[in-house]
Amino acid sequence: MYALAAQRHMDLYGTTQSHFAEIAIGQRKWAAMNPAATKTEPLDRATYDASPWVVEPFHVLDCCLVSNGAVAVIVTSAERARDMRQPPVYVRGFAQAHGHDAGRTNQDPAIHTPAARSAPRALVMADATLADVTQCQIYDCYTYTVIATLEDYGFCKKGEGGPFVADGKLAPGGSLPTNTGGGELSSYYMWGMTPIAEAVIQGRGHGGRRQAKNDLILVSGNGGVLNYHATLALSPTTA
Amino acid sequence: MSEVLSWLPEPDDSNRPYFEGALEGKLRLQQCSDCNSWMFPVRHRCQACGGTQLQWEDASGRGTVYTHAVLHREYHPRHAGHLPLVMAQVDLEEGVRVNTNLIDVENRAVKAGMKVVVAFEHSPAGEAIVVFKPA
Repeated sequence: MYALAAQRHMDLYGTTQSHFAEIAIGQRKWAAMNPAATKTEPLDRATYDASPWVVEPFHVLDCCLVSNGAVAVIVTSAERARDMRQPPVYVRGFAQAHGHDAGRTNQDPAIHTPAARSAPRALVMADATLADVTQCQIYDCYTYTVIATLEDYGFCKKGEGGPFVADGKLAPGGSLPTNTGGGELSSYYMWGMTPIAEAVIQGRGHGGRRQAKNDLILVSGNGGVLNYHATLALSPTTA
Repeated sequence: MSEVLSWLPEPDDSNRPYFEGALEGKLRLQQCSDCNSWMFPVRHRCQACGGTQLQWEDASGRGTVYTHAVLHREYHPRHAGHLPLVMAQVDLEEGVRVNTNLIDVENRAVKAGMKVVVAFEHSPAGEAIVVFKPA
């Protein structure tokens, strides 16, 4: 179903395999700096192209890993958090929005996802705008999910997500560090906990060589086939 | 004698008209008696108005490709000899989107908006599968 969504995006906007490859390769560069990542060997375009089709337009390397593991997050009050052993990461905003694919031909659920409604609400709660976001942890079950989410969040116009990521801005050294642990594509797949866990590591300043500017971290969760969406705005400071 | 593998799930009372329609060469779907909207897949309530009176009717079988994806690998007995297999979502003239396969088309030539008509593929077990081909 995600492959069908990705192909729709390609047909409508001219998004290419190179745009998907850019995300897979960029996240692998982040993973190389994450001791907990599963896939750390360098990934080049030829290797990406040579990886088998799961279903075209998705190569194996467009798809998240299969992982065994567990992630726990302790949620408590700011007051209690001050006395704990780890530096707190503050929840500055959160929101969720859900759609429904009723199979009508006048709907475009593969393209316009509920992310477009959850992110603005989370940012309003955080009293912030997209310009304040210093890094993203985007749910990346497939490479296409990252493009669709960045568009719906408003980082670029709908349809321009491919060219938006093509300059490497999501990768190490880029202007919008994204999925800094390698994400679900290269680090490990623990559903929505993968982006949350990396956001907490980054928010604490524990990212080591991969630490990115962490003033405001936008985190996404996605379920169904792009039907259900949640956004978190996290920060090491309360305001 | 080798077992003839089924390509389809076992039909039940909720979806039997769809599979029987295919055997008769018809694309048979549910239509809402209240607002006339068509449904796919089988629904218990109308996805447009919430009505519960859904009747099985024969659809036009005409539509356009909404999107597609291409299987290059055999995941199911039906895929053998059919690769690359084009999976597609087709927007019917009736306003409903159906999941299907495309036949008689080169996978590189498929694009959103392509006009298609219903066709039927027959399995070794005597089943009929609803597919679409270029109009």
